[in-house]
Amino acid sequence: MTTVALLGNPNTGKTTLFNELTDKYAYVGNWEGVTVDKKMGKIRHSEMVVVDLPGIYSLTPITKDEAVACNYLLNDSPDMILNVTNASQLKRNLLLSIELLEFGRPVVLALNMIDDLKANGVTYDFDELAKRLGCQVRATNARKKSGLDQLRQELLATPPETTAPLHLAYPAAVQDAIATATQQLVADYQLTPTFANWLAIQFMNRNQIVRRYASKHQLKPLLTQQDAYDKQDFEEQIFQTRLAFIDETLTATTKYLHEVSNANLTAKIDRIVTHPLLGLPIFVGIFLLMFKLSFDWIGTPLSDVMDAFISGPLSATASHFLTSVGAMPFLKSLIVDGIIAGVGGVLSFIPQIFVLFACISILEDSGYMARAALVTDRLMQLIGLNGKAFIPLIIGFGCNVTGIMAARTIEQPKERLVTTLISPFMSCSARLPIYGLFVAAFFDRNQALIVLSLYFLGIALALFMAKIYQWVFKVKENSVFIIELPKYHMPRPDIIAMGTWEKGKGFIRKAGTVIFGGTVLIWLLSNLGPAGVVTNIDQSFSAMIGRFVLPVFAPIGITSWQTISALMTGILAKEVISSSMIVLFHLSGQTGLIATFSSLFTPLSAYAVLVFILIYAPCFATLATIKAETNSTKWAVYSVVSNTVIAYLVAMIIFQVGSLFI
Amino acid sequence: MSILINSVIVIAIIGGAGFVLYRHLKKSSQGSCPACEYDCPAKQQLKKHQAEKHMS
Amino acid sequence: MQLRYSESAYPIVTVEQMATLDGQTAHRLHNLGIHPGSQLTVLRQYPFHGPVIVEFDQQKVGIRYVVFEALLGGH
Repeated sequence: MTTVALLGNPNTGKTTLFNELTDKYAYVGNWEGVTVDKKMGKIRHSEMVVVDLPGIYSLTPITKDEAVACNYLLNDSPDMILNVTNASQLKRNLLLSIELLEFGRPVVLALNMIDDLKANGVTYDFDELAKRLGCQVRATNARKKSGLDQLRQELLATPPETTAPLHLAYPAAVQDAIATATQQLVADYQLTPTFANWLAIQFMNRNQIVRRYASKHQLKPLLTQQDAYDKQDFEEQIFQTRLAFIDETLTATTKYLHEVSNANLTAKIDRIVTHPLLGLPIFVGIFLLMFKLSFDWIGTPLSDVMDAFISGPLSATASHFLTSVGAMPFLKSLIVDGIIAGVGGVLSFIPQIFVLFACISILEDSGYMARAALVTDRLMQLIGLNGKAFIPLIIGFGCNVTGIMAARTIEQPKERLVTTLISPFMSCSARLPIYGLFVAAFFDRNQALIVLSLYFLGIALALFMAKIYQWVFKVKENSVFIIELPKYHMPRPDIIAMGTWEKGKGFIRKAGTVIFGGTVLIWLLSNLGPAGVVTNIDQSFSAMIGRFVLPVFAPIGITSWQTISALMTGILAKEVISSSMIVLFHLSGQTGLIATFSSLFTPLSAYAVLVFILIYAPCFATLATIKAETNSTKWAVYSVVSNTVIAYLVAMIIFQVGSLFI
Repeated sequence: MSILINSVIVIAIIGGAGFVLYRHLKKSSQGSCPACEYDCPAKQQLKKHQAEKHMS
Repeated sequence: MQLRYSESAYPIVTVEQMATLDGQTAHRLHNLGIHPGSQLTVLRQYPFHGPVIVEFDQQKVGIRYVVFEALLGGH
């Protein structure tokens, strides 16, 4: 079995290429750091395995995900390397290519995004490039699926044998040192000359992973010379030689096609979306547009149709059918008032959630995310967070668990802890149904604006808490903020569709598991009391529990015990709040849900409840993840307590202050 | 429909609900990847890998 | 390889030094191909010492103001 390691700079289309070559769908996003760990796939109709590694700029790692790639080369020793490069940025991409060519395995160089290069009026003499680098060169465009068949053939045809590594003309001092070290390593440690040569160069280049490897294996020829290497600044000499080699190679192989103007599309879009003054309003505007689409324009009308069907014909037919087959009221109520009303009520929000997921997928694929991180960086810097911490937070809009997982890309442990703790404030998609339920009942117009305000309240609170945590944990500012702004590309419908489905599938699956389970549980608690089966819901367990805590919540405007009981079920999963609330009000009220709502809430208290739901205790899955990722129960418990207290305070302030004016 | 059949169905539904709830909580109590609802490719690969390991 | 703009309305600066940067930042900039002597086109500077967007070798990168200042020899 032949193994091909897929290596390249971040954002060169590696993952897209991996998907096209291996017939496997992997998560594709247009920003750095999408591949956090390595993924494997088989090339179609062959036994060749491709390993997709995180994007790296060089083999000398800074972050944890970059270390994965270097360790892979050291320990797993692939048979072949497929080096994916961004053809328009070949100069810097070749810095990594040289390191890979020195490794001495057959390398196939894919010049990806070749169309962008040609649009800039430039191309390369591929044969000459291949000759100078000593490897196969192929032009591809993974997004448009061009050049892929040839690349696949090339990979399958390349003999997986050790080939002559690339030898650069390093300065004499470096050359001599490499030769000496290589000779000793081969003689005393039985390393192959190629590997010893590569190891020596990487060691001189201050590659921490290689240096650790040398210490572990007691490679004395290198370890004893370490100070000498560093004193003569071999690293810089190696870098300069490589750069000179790249310049020479590119000058000799570049072919100009035609003159171009700088008025390309990316520049035009960037002139607007990264504008110093307009950048932030545009960021907010894009979010408003997302909520307009999902709450006003597309999502809600579709949801209304679904809701009308579920609460109308479906419910009525089921009810008639059950009566006709002689089901007893108890069973009928469980199915119609419990499962159909509760689970169906949550399912009717599918259109809104899918529209939102589609919007998030488009943002991910287009390249806007990097711009968002940039325009918000000044703000993030004031708080002491890295602009890049913004990306896990945005991912948290889908699901907080995923957001916390994405925080793994943050190198500093304390910074990572802060990001983990503030992640639950990001309004995850599970909270959308309850927003939808309330805004439909209380806000005729500006529904999108109300939801947007909740999302931004979540962000604001997250940033505020981050500032406090930074101060408490004494986090030193990590100033490495270098973010690449990739070229925009037209979002590809199939990637958007896959991304949306992948995110949305979980929601549908939950309808059959936790939402169903939670709904039956709340129905049961509402039909059972201390005296057994009760006909009046006011004597049920759920009423007892809700009423017991109700006085505490009076200051935030909650006057119904049903709301309290529903909030408690939210710990199972946030969607269950909606289904519980529907079931509870359905069982206790004769009139419609909206009519019941308007007698129990004012728009102000409804908003205060939504704020409370936004902030209070994270769901069980999120808590377990906080525990797993921080390795302590303490932080999970802290999260429940602190978030609930904060939620209470913020909701109370909104309700009390609002009451003075309204 | 007799009281018996009615009761059996009610108990089946409640039992089923209890079971899925228990399974959901057990799965999510592991935190991180198992708790995550997204069926991302890394996870699919992991599952496949474990299945293959189990087979052999 | 240069992007041959017919005209450029943006200021172009030269990287003077990288010695005063912290190790990780310098390393990352090195990886991107920035070294003393590199020509950077300054596409945008955000007010209040916000980030700076620079373009070089056909790539656009956002860096923080302090880093930008250091590259030009300040501090």
